[in-house]
Amino acid sequence: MLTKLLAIAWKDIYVTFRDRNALLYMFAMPVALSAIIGLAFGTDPDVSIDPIPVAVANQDAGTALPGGEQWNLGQIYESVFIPAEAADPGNTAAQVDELTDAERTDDPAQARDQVNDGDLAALIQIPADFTEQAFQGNSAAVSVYWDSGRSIGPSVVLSIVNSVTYGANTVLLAQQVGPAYLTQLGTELDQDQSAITQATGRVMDAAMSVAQDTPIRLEQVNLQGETRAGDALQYFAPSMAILFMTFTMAAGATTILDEQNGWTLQRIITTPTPRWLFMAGKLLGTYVTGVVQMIILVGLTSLVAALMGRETSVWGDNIAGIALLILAVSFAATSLGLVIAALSQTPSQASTYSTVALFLLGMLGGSFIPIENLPAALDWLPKITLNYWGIQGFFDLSYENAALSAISTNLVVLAVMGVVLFMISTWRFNRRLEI
Amino acid sequence: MKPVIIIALNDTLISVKERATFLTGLLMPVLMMVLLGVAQGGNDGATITIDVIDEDGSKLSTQFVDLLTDEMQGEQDAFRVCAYHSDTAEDCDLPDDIADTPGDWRSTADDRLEKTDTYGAIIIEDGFGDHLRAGDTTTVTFKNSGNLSAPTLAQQKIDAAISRMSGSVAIANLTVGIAEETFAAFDPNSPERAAAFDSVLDSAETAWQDRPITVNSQSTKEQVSRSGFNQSGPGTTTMFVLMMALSAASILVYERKAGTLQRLYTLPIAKWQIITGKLLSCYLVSALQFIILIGVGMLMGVEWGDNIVGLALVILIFPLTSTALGLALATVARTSAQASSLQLLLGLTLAPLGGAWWPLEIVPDFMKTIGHISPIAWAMDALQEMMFYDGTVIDILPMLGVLLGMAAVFFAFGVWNFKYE
Repeated sequence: MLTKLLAIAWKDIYVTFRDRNALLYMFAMPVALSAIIGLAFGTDPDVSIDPIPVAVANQDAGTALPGGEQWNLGQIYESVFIPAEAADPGNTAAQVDELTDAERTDDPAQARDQVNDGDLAALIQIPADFTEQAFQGNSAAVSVYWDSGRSIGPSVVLSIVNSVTYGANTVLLAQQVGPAYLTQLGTELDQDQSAITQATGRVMDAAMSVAQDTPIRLEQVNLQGETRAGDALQYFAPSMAILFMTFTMAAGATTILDEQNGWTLQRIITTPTPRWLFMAGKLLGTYVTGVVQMIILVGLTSLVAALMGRETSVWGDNIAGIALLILAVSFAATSLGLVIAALSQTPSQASTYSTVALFLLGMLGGSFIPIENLPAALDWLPKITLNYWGIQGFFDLSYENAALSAISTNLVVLAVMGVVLFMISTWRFNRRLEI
Repeated sequence: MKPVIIIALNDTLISVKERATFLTGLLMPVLMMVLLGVAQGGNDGATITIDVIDEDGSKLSTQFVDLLTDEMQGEQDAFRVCAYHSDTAEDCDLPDDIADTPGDWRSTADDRLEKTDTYGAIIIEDGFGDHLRAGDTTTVTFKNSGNLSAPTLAQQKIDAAISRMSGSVAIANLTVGIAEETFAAFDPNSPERAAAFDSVLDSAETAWQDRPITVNSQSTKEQVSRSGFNQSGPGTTTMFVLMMALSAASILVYERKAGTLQRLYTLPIAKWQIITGKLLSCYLVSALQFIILIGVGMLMGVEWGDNIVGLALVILIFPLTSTALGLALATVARTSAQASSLQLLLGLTLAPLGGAWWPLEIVPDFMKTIGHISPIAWAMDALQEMMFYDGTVIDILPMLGVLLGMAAVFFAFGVWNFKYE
């Protein structure tokens, strides 16, 4: 009995791994797509984009304070984007310099046209009376004109301009609020005028320092409280592997229809081989193929990541977790393939149905892009797919360094999916196996 | 020419009547367009939920939460702030007694993060207010689940609230510090110090309402943004038109293997006319698919631009290039299964390379260059030129020229390498 079971399973495994076309979509496609994604987004958590082309039109004439001191706030914006000299690596100016490719312009109209044409991501324009208006307490505005045809560049520029503006406002408000309060406090405390003058003068002098003062820091952590960040390969290596494994499973299940069409199924049933044994052999063959495919893809994508300079594994170090997830996700995918085959009348119909179903489930499950921002009414949709539970499980193992207990829900859901789908397919196939 | 047209129309009719054409050529791209469009923000942008855990409960932490809420919910409904200590958002879906069970806040947040009910949780730890009053640095934790597609807008809004609060606290500490050093009657340990700090902080906060410098942000096209359906529409359309046209490969190889081509050769028409008819059919089906998908995109709000002539030229030329690639593929595939696999491989690699899945703007320069080996990149460039930059026909001529050049090369290779038998 066991010999027959293994013979049926081995035949399918042998045929699949000897088929060059099958190997193409089993290994070449997921590895190629993982490589493209790795090259596009890098193996570094920070998305590396080319410097953003920006023009700075600083027309600010500055203003002289009562003490004779000259101020030009526009110059602060200009120097952030166009540093006078090479900034120390790691500091803010160096980071901005790395992010942007800024040019000074005296012709804002021309720069505006360049933004309209898509040649510049943004134009930062500072009017002639900018500092004067700001010091008089009137509203002074920095204008950012940006290209809506770009997705990331303008938001980075706006973020930098906002940050500089917060700093400048803090300085100006310190000079406005501080002296007023110290005058009031000094009077209440019966301090002599010289002490009050000294105090207000010190605020004016020290105001610049408050722009650098950041008493509140933001720390980003993952679910485990660690300050690591994920990279694209950690997500897309499993997502592509699972997607193409589901195609292999569907193709494997479709061989039942091929056998029926080619009358080999009927021949097998005339031999002393129980039908359940034939189905079990088919299931085992397809399942083992899926498991082997996943294991090989783990190896190949790890190799691709290493060649791209990633120092740690994209799949994480939890070998037991990875192994259990591979077993669970392959089981669910095998059962799904069987359901598609069971619902199809012919192999070509099964091929069409599986292409549509697996693409859609892949999309819903986040195989093509992470689906995390669906409206609340639709956020259950990804959870009906095995892709979602598989990808999330592998991502947790890699990104969160999750323990086995943390992916237990994923394992249980995948196992339940596998059992339910297998029962549906067996029920449907029962009639098909009647001759 | 008549035999070519008859064969083409006949094959086109058969193709459009097939359920598989409807499923893979229309249903799949439409669903993908909708799903990716909604996931990437749709037309109006999805509402992003942010949980806020205020473990400090001080005046300063409350003020900080107010600032966060103000920044995030200020302009539009892009964010939903769910503060555990006083749930003000209606659809946060938090437990009713959440405000009374501070001990469970962190586990609730972890649970919601795991279930992706929330994008992130901002945790203000106990001692936040005391640290700030003492002039020390304190840390606010932003916990998220490594979401790769989350908009950077959330980060910007949190940074903005932190910058503003940091500014006010720095002003208060500077002022009170100078008062301590300068005014002999000001006791640094007295309750007056805390009152002075609060007073300056309140004044600074009030002054922020009329801050001296503001940022005026204006985009080139206020109604058109490079997100949601304006990315998923052209991307999905070009990807599926390419895949449909590439099916020329599997059709030709299948018909050759099945012997139907050979049967047609027995007719009193030239072999090239038969093959041209078959290719013309693939071209017509993919051009028709292109038109329908553009229509579907319009219904979803994709702004294709006003250049009807330019759009028509892209609709005519891109399927031509794709069909030519299909012919070239047909000459290298030995079996229809091989042709199908190659078709899928090419479709699924040329699409992301060419910017169908994400904008090429966000990839490094060398990937942009490599991406332009894909016809999709040139079609996307032409479509985006018209969508975002009011591109004229002259503006998109270079892209159309490259697509025609690619078509010529693929056709030349296909004709040279094609085996009728």
